[in-house]
Amino acid sequence: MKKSMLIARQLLWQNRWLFALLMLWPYLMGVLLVASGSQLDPEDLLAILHQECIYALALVAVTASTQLGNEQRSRRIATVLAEAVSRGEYLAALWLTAVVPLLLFLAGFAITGSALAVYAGSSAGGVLFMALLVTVVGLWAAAASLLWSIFLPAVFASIAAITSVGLVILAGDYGVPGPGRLMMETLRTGFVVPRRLTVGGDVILSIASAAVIFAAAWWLFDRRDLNLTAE
Amino acid sequence: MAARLEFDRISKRFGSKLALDSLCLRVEPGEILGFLGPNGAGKTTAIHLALGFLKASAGSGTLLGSPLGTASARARLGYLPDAPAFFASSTAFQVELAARLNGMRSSEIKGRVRQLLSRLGVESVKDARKLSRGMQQRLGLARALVNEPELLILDEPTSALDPSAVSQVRELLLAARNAGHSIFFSSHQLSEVEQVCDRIAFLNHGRLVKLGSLSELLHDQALAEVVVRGVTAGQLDGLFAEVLPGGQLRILIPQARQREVIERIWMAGGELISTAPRRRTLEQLFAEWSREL
Repeated sequence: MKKSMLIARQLLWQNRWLFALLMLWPYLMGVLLVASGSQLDPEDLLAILHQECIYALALVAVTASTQLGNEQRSRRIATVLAEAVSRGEYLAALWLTAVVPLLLFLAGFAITGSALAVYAGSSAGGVLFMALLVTVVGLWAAAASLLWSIFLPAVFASIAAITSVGLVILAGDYGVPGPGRLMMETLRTGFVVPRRLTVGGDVILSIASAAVIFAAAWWLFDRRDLNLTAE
Repeated sequence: MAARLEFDRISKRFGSKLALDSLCLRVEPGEILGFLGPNGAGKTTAIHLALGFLKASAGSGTLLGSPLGTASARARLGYLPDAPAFFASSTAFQVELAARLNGMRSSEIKGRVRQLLSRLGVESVKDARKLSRGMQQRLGLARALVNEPELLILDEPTSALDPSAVSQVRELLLAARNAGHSIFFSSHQLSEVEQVCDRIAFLNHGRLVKLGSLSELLHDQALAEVVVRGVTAGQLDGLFAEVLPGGQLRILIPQARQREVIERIWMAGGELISTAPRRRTLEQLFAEWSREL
């Protein structure tokens, strides 16, 4: 894990400006809403917060699905995998590179969302609950997107990742348990945390399926050639 | 003693193209093995198989006693690619990262990094990607050497270096060999190969065409080169003779006829100056072997 964190740190630093810009988005949105000076309608605010939850998922899916292709194209992957780093450790580094910006984005979402909710005269509990649920769905989305990047070039992998995340959410709307239903629960959450929590099973299923998908990605990546002239 | 790197009938196929065909090759402890061949011969494919970047279609191999692709074995390996790539960090950090990924102790990293960068004359910059190609190659070499590897795999290590850096690298490689390290060295700089390699493996169309010690390959055991004076080419009827400055003649003859020809020269009143197996340049051999298959 130490090696994965070392590599992830390099990859994050490599794209620091892009990630910093994305991290600032929730804060920027908060400032714009407050600076508009008009009375903040809680319904409008809730719609904006739900949108930000979807942005968070899109961010993690695109980041996770494009990293491997980019690293192969730049040949930096050869620099790392020529050292005592296993394919699994490398894949874990890519997963971390997608998850860390997600967590920072959601931290910004939780901070500004809570402040705006209080500013609009509502409770902040629901915002924190949403952030927690999106974190779990994001962990799953990162693993699923990483799996696509093993087979497809970066552009196609990100399209496949976003499509598959979208389809799972659609399945969740039809009651299929797992990350999709968890995301639908997020989009139904208001400013108040539901009294009766029914998401426990979906949380466990999402984390377990993320682990299984990651293990499958590792198994496959371990058996494939690197494409050092990719794309 | 176990080979540092061994390919055992290893093949690699990309679709319908056979890039490497049943390669059998060993890099022994303490030797520098030059890996030669024209572009597209399969040299980089073989190196990528050794590093575990590619999976063999058939056959197997070992790297430092472990099957190819074993991550832990690579902690004792150093690799310099033909075009090294770097992260957006300082020169020192690039080398430090390699040391950390290979599990070196923190206490020994800083000193080793400083020593290597100064020995190789690497400029200190905040973003290594902005270095010139030659400086990047020096930095890549520092990264490859940081863990004092038992085996160094170098892909065109001197291609972008100036003459003084080339000589520095040569000294470094020879010192590494003398310390018992092995070097697997792919290059098109034939003069470099001739100066540092103990053995040569020549690959063409994915197949190993020649393998042997440098002196064995450069000296043609089938032909002898005889230098004489005091005779004219006309007196050596039927023999190819080249006139050298000072009236000397150089004659190329099959080894088996050497005694008979020397006797003819003496009978004609000539004087023998030297006789030795014909020595060819690596450049001549490269051209000759490239035509094989």
